[in-house]
Amino acid sequence: MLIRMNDITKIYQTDEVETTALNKVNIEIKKGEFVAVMGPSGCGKSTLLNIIGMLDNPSSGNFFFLDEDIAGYSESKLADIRKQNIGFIFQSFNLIDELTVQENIELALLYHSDVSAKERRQRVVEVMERMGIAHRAGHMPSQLSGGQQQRVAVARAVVANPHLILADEPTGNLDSVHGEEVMAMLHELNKQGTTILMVTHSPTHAEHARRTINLFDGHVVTESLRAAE
Amino acid sequence: MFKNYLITAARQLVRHKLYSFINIGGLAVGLAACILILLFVRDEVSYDSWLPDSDGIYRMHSTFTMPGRPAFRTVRSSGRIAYSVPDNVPEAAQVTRILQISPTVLKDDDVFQESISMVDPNFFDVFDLPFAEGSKETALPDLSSVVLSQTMAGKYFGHEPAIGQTLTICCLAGQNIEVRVTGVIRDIPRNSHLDLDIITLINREAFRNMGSMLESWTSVNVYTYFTLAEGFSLEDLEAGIMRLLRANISIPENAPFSSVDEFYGISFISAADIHLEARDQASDMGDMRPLGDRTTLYALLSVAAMVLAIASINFMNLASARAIQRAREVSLRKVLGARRKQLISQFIGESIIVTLIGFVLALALVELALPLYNDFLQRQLALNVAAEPSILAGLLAVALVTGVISGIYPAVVLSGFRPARILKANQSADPEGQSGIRLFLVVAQFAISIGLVVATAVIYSQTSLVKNSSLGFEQENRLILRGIGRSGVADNQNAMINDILALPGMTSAALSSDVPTDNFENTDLLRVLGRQEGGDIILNVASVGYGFMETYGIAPLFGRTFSREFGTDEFIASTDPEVQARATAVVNKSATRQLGFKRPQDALGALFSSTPFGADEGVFEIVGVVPDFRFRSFKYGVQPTYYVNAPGRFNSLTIAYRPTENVDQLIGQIETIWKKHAPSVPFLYEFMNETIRQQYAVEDMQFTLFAAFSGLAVFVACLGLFGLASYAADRRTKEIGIRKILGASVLDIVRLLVWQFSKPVLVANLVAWPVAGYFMMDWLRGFELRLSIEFVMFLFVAAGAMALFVAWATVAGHATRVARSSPIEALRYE
Repeated sequence: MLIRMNDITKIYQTDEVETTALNKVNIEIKKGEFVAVMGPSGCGKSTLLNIIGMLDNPSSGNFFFLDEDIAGYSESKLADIRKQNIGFIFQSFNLIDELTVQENIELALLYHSDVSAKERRQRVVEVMERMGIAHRAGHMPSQLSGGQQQRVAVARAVVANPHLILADEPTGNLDSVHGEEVMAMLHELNKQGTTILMVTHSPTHAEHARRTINLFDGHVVTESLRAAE
Repeated sequence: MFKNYLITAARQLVRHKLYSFINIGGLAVGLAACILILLFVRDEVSYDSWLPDSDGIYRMHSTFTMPGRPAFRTVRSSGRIAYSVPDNVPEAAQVTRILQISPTVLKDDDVFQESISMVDPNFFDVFDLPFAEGSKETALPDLSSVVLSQTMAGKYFGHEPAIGQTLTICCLAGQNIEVRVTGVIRDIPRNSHLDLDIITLINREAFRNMGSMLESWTSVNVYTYFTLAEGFSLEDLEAGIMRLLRANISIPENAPFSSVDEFYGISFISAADIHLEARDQASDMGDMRPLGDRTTLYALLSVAAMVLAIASINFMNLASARAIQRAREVSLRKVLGARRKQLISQFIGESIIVTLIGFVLALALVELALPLYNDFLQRQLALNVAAEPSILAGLLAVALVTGVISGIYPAVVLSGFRPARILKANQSADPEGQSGIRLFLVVAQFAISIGLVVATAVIYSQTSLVKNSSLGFEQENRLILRGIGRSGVADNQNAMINDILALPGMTSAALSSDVPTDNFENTDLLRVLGRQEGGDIILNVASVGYGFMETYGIAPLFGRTFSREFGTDEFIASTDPEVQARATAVVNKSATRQLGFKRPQDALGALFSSTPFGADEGVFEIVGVVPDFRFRSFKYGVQPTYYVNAPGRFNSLTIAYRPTENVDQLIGQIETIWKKHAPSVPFLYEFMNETIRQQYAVEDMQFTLFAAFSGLAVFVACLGLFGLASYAADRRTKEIGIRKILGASVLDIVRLLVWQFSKPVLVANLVAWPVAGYFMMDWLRGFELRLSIEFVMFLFVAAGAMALFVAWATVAGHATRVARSSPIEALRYE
């Protein structure tokens, strides 16, 4: 079991209001699954993704990653688990403006001290070729189209060979052609064994997933399975 | 429109508090530093500007360049010259002298030591000083008249009119004279090189028996002032005086120079320039009041400019860095029809507003700092803007220029945005190259700061090296009594010394003509007996009594010092012109070189003839060689000197005592003994270590000023860096979030940001070192004893490291805060 969430609750507190983003959510995700998370704005999708990505702590409940309860882990321990296991893809790409395509991708390996500089370059070149952006290696993000930028972001997410990719509306800023392209890439990655958890508004794109979790107001409303293709 | 600009500017300032604080605070500190420095500079350049015709009164300085000796430069001149000027030097319209002596003044039963300025009868024609009582026409009609300053008149006669009252001066030519007050001048302002309290006429006859005082062409004891005759220049006057000197000075046979011009030089300086330039031309000793110098003023003015420049750079950097935040406003204004010119004037206007707020704060800071500043400088500087509108206007102009200069760059950057790009895509509004300029400015700021720190460190180290270097003698627990050669004490010297030595805690006492710290040059021509080749040799001479070297902890290198055991050591002038007096002499090490001995010990046993103090001739046997201990401060070279034991010349008594808690009690006991033996002579004492410290008082003051303002410069630079770091941290929030998600630790992020700001500081070092190195090495060359190159280089590295450390400390706080924040905060709202 890759992920197991028991009664995960997340409450955001500001001076005046208390918002329950997640309310006793129970989710299990096995290795190799492709799961889509859907739901209207504010239903807690991103919060769920952040907790699974260990960027945020739940207010209560237990979260097991690879059968380990990560509650109480230090921030640096979490960072270690994160960089070994998880890749992120964002709706707004989140590339660093001042770095080239190649440097942006390389960044994901830079914090892996076990990867030598030589290997790092080699893997970056490989992944750029796989994503069809090798000819853009020296360009700055601002010189690329949205689709190309997202491909760079995907390349960055996969270069460290993570077990799990968390994609937060990866196609949200893209037109349908480019959106499909990215979905095809995720599909391909999943086939090769990478677990994918994707937040999306698009029912079409959700169909790429084997399982869809519908969130509403912090609750899991339905879970639907699609037959394997 | 203007109102809209004002509103925008005001809201910007209120909303971005850190930004406003750094800009306004930095400018306020910078402007305040400038104003304080300008006040000091104004005071320095005001010296003697109140004196009527101060540009047209010239003081004559003398320089003696003897072979093998450091040039002796002095603000004084020969007292003899003035007597011959009226008949022989038509280039001079007026010549007048001041001869200062320190006799005692008796009033009823009270005894005071005073400084009396003896002048020529035309003194008040040359120096048109304002009178409070009497007038210059009726002042000083004869030798028994005296003019007092208001302070002195008050001291002796209270509120009664002073004119017609009498005082007794002791002693001139060995006798008391009674003088009658014939005028009272207003006190000489503090900003003057003149220091006149009691003025009488020079009595040539009274000094006849002190031949060197007024009758020698080469002995320099007076200040001589000239005014030029119609149609003549200073060069003409100099030529005229040199003509006079050549005609009257005969070069001794065998002297190591063959003409007057070779060893005797004169120069002139106008009274208006004395305060700032006399030190360069002559030396800083022997003037009536402490001198200033232009170099220090220029150094301070450049520091003022640098502090202001750093504050301006802060403004430029922060304003342009914040451009992104204002890009939308600019774009909208453009869409609504604003022209670039209008936008530029808007932003320059904002900059001027900020500067003006800073200026008002600066005035407040100056008011707060002035009491402390005055206390430190021992002056009464004041900034009264209401009374001096021109000053206010000048300062305001400085502030406005600063505002415009600071505003131009950000205004051009901000007004240059292309609205379509900004409004359409939410893209980075940082145009290419702009961050490069910012980097350049940060480098400039830190280069200036590092340069100032380096300069401060070098000056401080050099000054302490000089101050703490051994002068070659013991200076702690040494008490000096002055005036022991005066009539009224001289006969009781030995009895008094015995009484003093009987006090508990005394270790030794010794008499001498001068003591270390006395700046004197008393040269004699010497002839080594039995030697054919070479001419006469010039050495300094001092008279020291038995135990003098021992009292100062000076051990002879070879031979011995003066001792009663031998009975041959005292020099007593011969009464028979056929017989030369014989005595022994001790020389210092550099004198043995001067005398031509290869090794110092070879001088032992040598005989030479000379005329110590220009009075009586004698033959001396060298019995000892002592080290080159310093009679003068380290600012001047060692003088090759010979020491004789001539009791008639003793004027100071050095008392060595064991360290004691109760110095006051000690002084009290000694004063009681003094009063018993010399009731008519004032008791004057000083501590050797304090006197030595005071020699550096002016340097200390200048250094502290320089250091304080340099510190301010560094502070303002750090303020700017702090602002820039906070801006950079904000701007890089997204990047930092991404890096954290990719696994960067807090330390990784802090390192990243700190490194970003370390680079400019490192580059600044490379810029600052050569420039500061050039100037400081040049400055150091002026010292005989100076810091080693290695140590100076160490100071450079240390200053650079300090700048880096300060930059880290400034940036690290921000970096840590940003690095710790949750990455989802950073990425949530894109």
